[in-house]
Amino acid sequence: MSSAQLFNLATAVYFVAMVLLALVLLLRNRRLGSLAIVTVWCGFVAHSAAIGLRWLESYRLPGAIGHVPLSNLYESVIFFAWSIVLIYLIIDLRLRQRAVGAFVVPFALLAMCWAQLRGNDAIEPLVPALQSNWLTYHVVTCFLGYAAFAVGCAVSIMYLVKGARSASKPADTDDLLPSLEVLDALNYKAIMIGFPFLTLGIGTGAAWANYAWGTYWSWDPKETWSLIVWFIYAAFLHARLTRGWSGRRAAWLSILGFVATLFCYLGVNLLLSGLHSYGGG
Amino acid sequence: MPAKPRPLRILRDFLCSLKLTVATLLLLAATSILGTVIPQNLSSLQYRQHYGDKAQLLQGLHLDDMYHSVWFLALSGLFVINLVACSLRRLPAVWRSVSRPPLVADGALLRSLSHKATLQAACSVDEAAIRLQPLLRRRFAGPRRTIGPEQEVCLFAERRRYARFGAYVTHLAILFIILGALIGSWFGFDSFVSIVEGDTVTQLPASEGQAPVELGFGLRCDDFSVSYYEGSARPREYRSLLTVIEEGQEVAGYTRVPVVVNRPLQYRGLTFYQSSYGLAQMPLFHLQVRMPDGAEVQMAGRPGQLLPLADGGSLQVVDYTPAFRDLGGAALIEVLTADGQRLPAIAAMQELPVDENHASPYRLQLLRVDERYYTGLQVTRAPGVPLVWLGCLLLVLGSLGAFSLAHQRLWLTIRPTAGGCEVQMAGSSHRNRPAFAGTFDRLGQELAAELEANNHSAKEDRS
Ligand code: HEM
Repeated sequence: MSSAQLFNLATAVYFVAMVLLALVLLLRNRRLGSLAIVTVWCGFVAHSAAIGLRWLESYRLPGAIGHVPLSNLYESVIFFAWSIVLIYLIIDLRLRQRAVGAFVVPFALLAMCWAQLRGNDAIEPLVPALQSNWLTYHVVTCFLGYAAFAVGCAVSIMYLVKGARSASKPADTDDLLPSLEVLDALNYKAIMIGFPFLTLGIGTGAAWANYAWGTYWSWDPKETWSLIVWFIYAAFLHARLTRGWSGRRAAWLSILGFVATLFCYLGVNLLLSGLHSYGGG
Repeated sequence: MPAKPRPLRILRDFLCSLKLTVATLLLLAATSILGTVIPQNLSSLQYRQHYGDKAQLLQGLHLDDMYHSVWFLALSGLFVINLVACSLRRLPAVWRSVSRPPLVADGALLRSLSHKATLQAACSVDEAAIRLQPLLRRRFAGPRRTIGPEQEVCLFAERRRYARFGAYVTHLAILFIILGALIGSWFGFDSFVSIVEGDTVTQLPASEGQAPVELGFGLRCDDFSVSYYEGSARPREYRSLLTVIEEGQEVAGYTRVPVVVNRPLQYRGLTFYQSSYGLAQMPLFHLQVRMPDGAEVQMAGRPGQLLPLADGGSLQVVDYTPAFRDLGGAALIEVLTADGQRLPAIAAMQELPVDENHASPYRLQLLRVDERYYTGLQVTRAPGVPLVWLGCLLLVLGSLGAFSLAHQRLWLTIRPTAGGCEVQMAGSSHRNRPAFAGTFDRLGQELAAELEANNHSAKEDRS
């Protein structure tokens, strides 16, 4: 079996898991929840095995081009999806909020589908600038941060959905969604996981830039956007310390933060690079 | 403390407010976007080309170098002042509450605590206190024993006091990073030098309007090479071999040091990074030519140079690629035959499998290419960098600590009752209260077991 087939398998399993999780919510069936979470675990195992296999495959290619599979957009999207599931599973182990998965797993599924459909899955050798252990540390920490923010965003969407629903029909309480307080706390928790990782990600990126180019910060669009994301989440953390910034406003701030995260990750490469390509850089 | 005049108080409250923090952080985020959308540090002409009439406005607002513009620096300055003011204002209170905690849980304090329970024991007050102390010492830090106003015995225990300072460590870390950046921009510099293979440099070229910088030692480039991934034109490694020379002598440990991307050379506070390369002069191509009559000749020439052949024809090197399919280097040759025909031909390092040059009367092979490269090195002195790294480390540790460590406190008040004594437990955790609830309940059970007390005196509801 090749890693590409395993990635397809993982994607399919995530799809099944998502359907199950949606059924949990629709049918209000708690027992189905255990089946759903087992399915997510299966997808995660396949996903992890596929990443490992791709790593091995890169060493089997001629020309000694083996490297950790974190070097291009395709590989990073796949790792992003993996991190999202990982963070979700960790939160599930500790807090057992099954229903959260119905909102989180689609993020991972979307990333996997995007990678399969649009990504270039050829294993390519690393150009000299990428040949650094800092690349691995940098990508891993950044994406764990991004993934935690994705979970925060998913929980915030749940918060807003549930908030809107309970405003319209207050009687509808047993919808298996966690309570608003729990969702708010989960949002905060996800960002508390993500923020130190993002900080580490920016720091390792700066260290790498320092080794490769002799400058740890040069205000290039990618760096600047990571700082923008960092500012937004720092604002989130401090807003909570002031009056009235939990709940809905915190949820919106978390969604804003994740939109900025996505832009930092994808938008900068897809949109801004075009703008800068004439800059003679 | 003497009352401050009103305007000063308003200013102080403004500078210390968390609303200002949230506002500046979001403003910094929003304005930073501009510099990622507008290309930075182009020439006036380029801005005119891309933005037309708006170019002037854009340059007037310093959006062409916005991260160094006055208004962006002012916003950052406000952020730093806010950070310092707010931290300094709160720190003393945090320090006081940590260093001088209330040892006696009075009514007001009890009301403010969310975790409470009461245990009944059959032993005397003193005995209860003596039995409970070792347990508290094991689970928390050593309890402090005092006598309350009504002669009750009070035990106070706590753990992870330092967790209170996580946020302040984080804030200090930010100041370190900013200070490191300032030191770098005041005392550091950034330059570029190119060295031709075999040459030695002793100074860095002058930047605009300044004298060249003396290195104080010599730096020789012994060799520069590019290697490619097998069978592709994708570069694998750029490598310079550098030697440091002091007073005409090679310095031990600094001879033929390989410098590649991601592995710079450090010497006497300067760091040399592999940054670019190029040909110092036109390469010299050594060719072997088999004439139509079977005679073989060897010749060498640079691109553009006409190489005459014995039969009246000539060759000229036009182009070169270091990786032609998987045949290694190859040169594109323009052949001018004796009867005036112009033909393209390829001379490769290896025998071409199918003769691609069937049109040419000469069979060509490339023997070797003498290339003389120069290596381009980025040179920096960055004295602030260690402080920046320290800041990054503290930033991560501080925020992790602020988020995941909780300062937990426990007050026990032991009063005599008719049948023995009553232990009132109260606790607080400065974060992660749900997890503390479990800790608190378990501790209550352990304390009860220690007292062999019956724990049935219903726990008070946690509010
Ligand atoms: C980007 C810059 C900043 C970062 C990364 C940062 C980081 C942090 C962190 C991680 C915490 C702990 C949060 C929590 O307990 O939930 C915190 C708390 C706090 N921050 Fe900041 N901070 C920054 C800027 C500021 C500024 C400019 C101020 C100025 C007023 C400020 C004031 C505070 C205060 C008052 C607290 C609460 C302290 C306490 O719990 O005792 N922060 N900060």
